[in-house]
Amino acid sequence: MKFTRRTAIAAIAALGVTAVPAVAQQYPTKPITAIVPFAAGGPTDVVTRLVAEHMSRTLGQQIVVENIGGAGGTIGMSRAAAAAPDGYTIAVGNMGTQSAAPALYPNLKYDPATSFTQISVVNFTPQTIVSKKGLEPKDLKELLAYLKANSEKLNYGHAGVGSISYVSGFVFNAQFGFKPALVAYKGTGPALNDLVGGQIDYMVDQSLNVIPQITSGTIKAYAVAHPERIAALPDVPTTKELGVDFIFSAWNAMVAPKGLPKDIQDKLLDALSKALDDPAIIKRYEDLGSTAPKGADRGPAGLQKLVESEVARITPVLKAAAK
Amino acid sequence: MAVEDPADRSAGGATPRTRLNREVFAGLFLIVSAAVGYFGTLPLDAGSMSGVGPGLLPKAVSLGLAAFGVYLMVIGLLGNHERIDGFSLRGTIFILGAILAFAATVRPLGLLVAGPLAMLISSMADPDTRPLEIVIFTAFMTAGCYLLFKVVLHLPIPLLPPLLGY
Amino acid sequence: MWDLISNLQLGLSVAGSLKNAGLCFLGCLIGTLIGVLPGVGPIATIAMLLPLTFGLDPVGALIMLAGIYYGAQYGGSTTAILVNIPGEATAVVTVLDGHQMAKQGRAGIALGIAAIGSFIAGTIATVIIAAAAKPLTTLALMFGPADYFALMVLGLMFAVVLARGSVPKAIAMILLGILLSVVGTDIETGEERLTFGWMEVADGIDFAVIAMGMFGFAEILRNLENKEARAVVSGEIGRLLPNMADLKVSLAPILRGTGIGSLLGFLPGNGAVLGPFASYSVEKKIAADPSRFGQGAIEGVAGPESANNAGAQTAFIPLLTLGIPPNAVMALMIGAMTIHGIVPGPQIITKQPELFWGMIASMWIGNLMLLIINLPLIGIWVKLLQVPYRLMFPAIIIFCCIGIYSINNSPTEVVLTAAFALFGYTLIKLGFEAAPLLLGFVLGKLMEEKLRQAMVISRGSLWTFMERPVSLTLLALTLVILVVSALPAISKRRETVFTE
Repeated sequence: MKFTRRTAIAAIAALGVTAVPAVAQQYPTKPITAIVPFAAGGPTDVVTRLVAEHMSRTLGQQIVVENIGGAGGTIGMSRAAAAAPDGYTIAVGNMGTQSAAPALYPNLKYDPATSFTQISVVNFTPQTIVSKKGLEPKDLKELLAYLKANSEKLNYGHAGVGSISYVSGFVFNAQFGFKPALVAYKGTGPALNDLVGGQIDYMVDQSLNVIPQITSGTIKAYAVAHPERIAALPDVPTTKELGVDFIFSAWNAMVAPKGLPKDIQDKLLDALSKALDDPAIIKRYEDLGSTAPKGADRGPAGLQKLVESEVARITPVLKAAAK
Repeated sequence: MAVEDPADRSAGGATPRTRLNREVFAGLFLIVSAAVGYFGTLPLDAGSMSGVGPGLLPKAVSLGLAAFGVYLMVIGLLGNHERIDGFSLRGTIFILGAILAFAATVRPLGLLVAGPLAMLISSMADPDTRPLEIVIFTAFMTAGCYLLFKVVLHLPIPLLPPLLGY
Repeated sequence: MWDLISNLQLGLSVAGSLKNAGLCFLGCLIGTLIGVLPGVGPIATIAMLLPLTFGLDPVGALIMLAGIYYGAQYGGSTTAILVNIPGEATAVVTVLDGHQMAKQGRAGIALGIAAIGSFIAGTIATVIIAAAAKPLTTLALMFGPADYFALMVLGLMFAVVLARGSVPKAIAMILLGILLSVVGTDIETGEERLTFGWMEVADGIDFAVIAMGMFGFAEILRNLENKEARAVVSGEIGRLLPNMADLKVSLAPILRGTGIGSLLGFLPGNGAVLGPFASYSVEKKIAADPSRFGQGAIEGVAGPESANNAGAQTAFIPLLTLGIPPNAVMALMIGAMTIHGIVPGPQIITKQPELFWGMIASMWIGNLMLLIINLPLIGIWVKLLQVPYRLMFPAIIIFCCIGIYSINNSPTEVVLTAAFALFGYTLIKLGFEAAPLLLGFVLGKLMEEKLRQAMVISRGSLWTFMERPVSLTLLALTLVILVVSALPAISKRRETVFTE
C-alpha cells in the first residue's frame, strides 16, 4: 500500500517536473482562460469573444472565456489579479474595473495601475449623447443651453452606480454644471427602454448600445464624444467638430496577472494585434461603433498611460459625488 | 379562498401540545430575521419622497416582519399548537457537508475529485446506502458528468488539479 | 393580412430548410438537456456554445440559439415536476402541483400536459408576434416605472393566493423574500445592503441559489427524515400520457395561461416572470374546488406552463422591434447577434426580412420539435423516478453542485446554496412555505427599483400612481382582489375566535 502510494506521488511529481519547462518553452500548450468580469452577452463579453476566437487560431490553443460577474466586475478582476502569471489566465476589464473601481469600491483587492501585467486596449467605444425623441433642442449647442436652463427639471437615466453610463453621465453633468435627477436602472436595457418610452430625458451611453435606436429614429442623437465620426453613425456629428470640449470613450483592455514573463506577454500582444488588424474584425468593430487601438494606444505602454490618466480624471468626480 | 390555518389542524388534538410550540418558534424566527434586516440596514438613509433612499424598503419590510413575528408568537402562546419536530442531524451534517466539500475542492482539485467526493459524503446521510453499489454508481455518474458538462456543454469547470496540466 | 401570410411563408421557407430545421432541432435538444439539469441555465450554455456557431450563417446560428432558449424553458419544468427543483423563477409554480402529481404516480400526465400546453401556447404566441409585434411594442412603451410598480404590487397579491396554509405566514414569507432581494449593492447610491462586508454577494443573491437550496436540498433533507415519504412515487405509476378527459379539463387553463403569459411576456424588464404566478392564481381563484390546488391539480400545471412558454416567446418582441433586451437571456441573444454581425433592432425587419421572419417561423418549428422530442422522453423520465432514493439524492446533489458552480464559475454560490438549504429546512420545520418567499424575492427587486424611479421622476409626488391610467387600473384591481380575498378569511377567523 505504502509503496504504491509513494510511486503514485513520484509519478505525479515527475509529470509536474517534466511539464513545467515544456510550458515555458512553447507557450501555449493548453487552453487559456480569459476572465470576463461581466455576464455573457454584454459589451465586454462580446468584444472578448470576438478577438479570443481569432487569437485562438494564431496561438494554436483555445481561449476559453470564463464569465465571473459581480460587484461591477471587480470580483472577476480580483480573481484575475490573484491568478498565477503563467499566461494561462488572462482577463479583459473595462473602463469601470480598470479606472473607476478604486473610487467606487474602497475595499478593492487590486490596483488597476500596478496589479496587472498590461497587454493592450482591445477596443474603444465612444460615448454618444442621446435624448428621448420629443426633447426640444435640435442640436448639441441647443441641448447644452437647454440643459443649462432646465437640467433640474430633467431626468438622466443610467444603468446603475459604477456602470459606464453612470460614470460618463457624471463626468458630462459635472463638466457643464448640470443637475438633473438621476434615475437608476439595473442594466442598460431597462434604462434605454424608458428613454425610448420618454420616461427619462437624456443619457450618455456607449454607441454600441444606442445605435439601433438612433438609426431607427426612436431616440435622438446629439453628438458622438469622439474626435472622429464613427462608421455606424455617419450622420451624427462629433463633439470635436462642434467645438465642445467633451471627449469620452468606454474601453476594454486585456491584462494578465502581475509578473507575466515578457515572452508570453509579447506572444499574447502579437496574437491580439493580428486579430485587431483582421479586416473581418475591423468590420465588426465598425458595426458595433467601436474602434481598435492604433499606434501608441496599442500595447502595454499605451494601456498603462490610459489607466493612469483615466483614474486621474474619473476619481475626483466620483469622490466629489460621494461627498 | 382556502385558508387552512395550522391552528385549526392542531386543534384536533392528535399531536402532543406544548406552550413552546411551532408557532412560537416561527414568530421568534421572524423577529430575529427582522432584527437582522433592520439593524443591518440601520446606517442606510431612508431618504425622502422625491429620493427614496436605500434604507426605506428594508426597514419597512423588517418592521412588517417583526409585526407578523409578534402576531405568531402571541397566537402560539395563547393557543395549543403542534410541537416542533426535531431536525435530522445525520442528514443535515452529511448533505451540507457534501455541498461544502464540493465548494472547497472544485477549484483546487477539479470536477473529477469534487464530484465523487460530494456524492460519497452525501450518501452517508442515508442508512440504506450500500457501499459497493454507491461506489460503482459514483464512478458511473462521475464519468457521465464529465461527458455531459465538459464534452457536450463545454462548461469552464476545472477537471483535475492544475498540477497535472489540465 | 396578406402581408402576414406572405411574411410567414418567407419565414417558413427560411426556417424550414433542411439545415435550419436541423439546427433548430439541435438547439431544442441541447436546450432541453440543460433545462433538465438543475442550475445550468441557458445563459451559461448559450455563452459556451457561442463559439460553435461562429462557423454558421447568422440565421442558422440564431435559430439554434433561440432553440436552446425555449428548449431550456421547457426542460426546466421537467425537473420541477420530477424532483421538485424549479430551475428558474417561472417554474416555481409548476413545482406546487406538478411534483404532487409525480408523487401520486401521475408524472407522465403532468409532463405530457406541460408539453401539450407549451406547444399550444407557443403556436398562439408565434402568431401574436408575427401579427402584432409593432402595436404591442407601442403598448409596452406606455409602461413607465409607476405602472410597473403597480403591476408588481398586483403580483404580490398572487402570493397570498399561492399559499396552501396560513395566510399571515404566507405574507411573512413574501416580506422575507423582499428582504432577501435587497441584499447587494444599491444601484442608486452604490451602498452595500445586508452584505455584511462580503464582496461575493455585492451583486445580490442568485435566484437559482435560493430556489435550489430551499426547494431541492431542503426537500432532500426532509425526505431523508422518514423512510415512508422517501420514494418519490408513493403509489402505482399510472398512465404515461394525458387522456381526453385530462385534455378537456386543461384546455381552458391552457388558453387562459397563454393569454396571460403573452400579455406579460412582451413587457420590458422581465414581466414574463409574473406570467405563471398570475395564471396559477387565476386558475385557483376560479376553480370550483380550490383546495385541490397544491395537491396535484392538473390545471395548476397546464395554465402556468402555457403562460411560461407564451411569455418566453413574446419576450422576443422588445428585442426584435426595439433592439432592447427584456431579460438576461435576451441580452445574451443581442450579444450573439452582434458577434454574428447583426445589429438588432427595428431595422432588421426591413433590412433582413429573411432573418426576422425566419426566426419567428423557427419559433413555431421549435415548439413542434420540443413536442416531438419530449413526448417520447416522458417514458424515460418516469422510469428515472423509480431509481431508489438512496441513489437518486446523491445524483441530485452532484448535478446541483455543478449547476450552481456554473452560474458564476465560483464556489461562493455553492456555499450559499448550502446555507439556504439549512434555511429552507428550518422554514419547513416552522410551517412556512417557500413559494411565496421566492415570489417576494423575484418581485421585490423590481418593485423597489420601479418605486424609486417613479418617485424620482415625479419628484416625490404619490399622485403619479393615480394620474397614470395604467397604474390606476392595476392598483384598483389589486384593491378589489385584496377585498375579495380578505372577506372570507376575516369571517373564517371570526369563527375560530368564537370557538376558542
